[in-house]
Amino acid sequence: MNYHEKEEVIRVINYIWGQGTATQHNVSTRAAEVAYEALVKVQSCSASMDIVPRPAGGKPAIGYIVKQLVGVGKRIKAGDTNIYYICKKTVALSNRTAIYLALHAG
Amino acid sequence: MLRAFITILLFVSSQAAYSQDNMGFFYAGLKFKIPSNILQIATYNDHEGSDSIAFQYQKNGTEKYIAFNEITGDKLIDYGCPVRVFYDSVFSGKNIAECNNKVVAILRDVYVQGKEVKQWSTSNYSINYSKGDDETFVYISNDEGKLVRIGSDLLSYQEVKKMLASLGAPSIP
Repeated sequence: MNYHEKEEVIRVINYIWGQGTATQHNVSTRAAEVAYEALVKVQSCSASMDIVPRPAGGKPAIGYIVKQLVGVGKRIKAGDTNIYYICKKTVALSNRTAIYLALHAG
Repeated sequence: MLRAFITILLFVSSQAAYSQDNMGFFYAGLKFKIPSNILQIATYNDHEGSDSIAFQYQKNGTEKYIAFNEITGDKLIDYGCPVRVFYDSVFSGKNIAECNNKVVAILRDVYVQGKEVKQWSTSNYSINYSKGDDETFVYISNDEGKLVRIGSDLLSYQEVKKMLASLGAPSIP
């Protein structure tokens, strides 16, 4: 991930888990994967199937995940998320340890 | 992996702000008392040892929540020691040799550093409480490995204690 991609991934992570959760120093590809999986869960809960498309087949490549998170990050910045607060909070709590391990345990 | 979400929308008669009326809520074999003026409920099961349910409220025109997440049998962390010992160690700041102290240190950064932390126990459960600027988190654990995590941006410490009163009188007030 380059600097600008990291900025958008950080924006997504902090949107889900709270400001200050991710920084340029701790954001990682594993954290991006956890954030992407959380978004997939959130959009199922929210019945908002247009947040992140899920490709057919197995686990998407990290390049695909980062590209999707960059898009979501820009939408969050623009205030266009269409995510229910309660769904975001439910998934955030469920994945809370996972994101911190991804950010701090490498 | 199969994931199922069920979102249940409960539109109660009142669009009122937060009230002090409580209702009983049974979850993970435990009884809680939560504010009854619920606006929406969301449930989530990811088939990875995690079942969640969240209640949405409105307070002063702002969305608020209380969420419960049972993680008994959680495989995400190699605890190294019983979960009750692990979380008591995280919140107390006292390292236990057999626990995974690398993860203990990470979770202290999350739940202890710069947070208001309280610990108490009942006859059966350890309760570890952490309050930051915006959100409160509670871990409930026992010697049988039960582990329930609660998150909220609605409840004060006193309200958390009331919510958990059915777990038994605290041995440490």
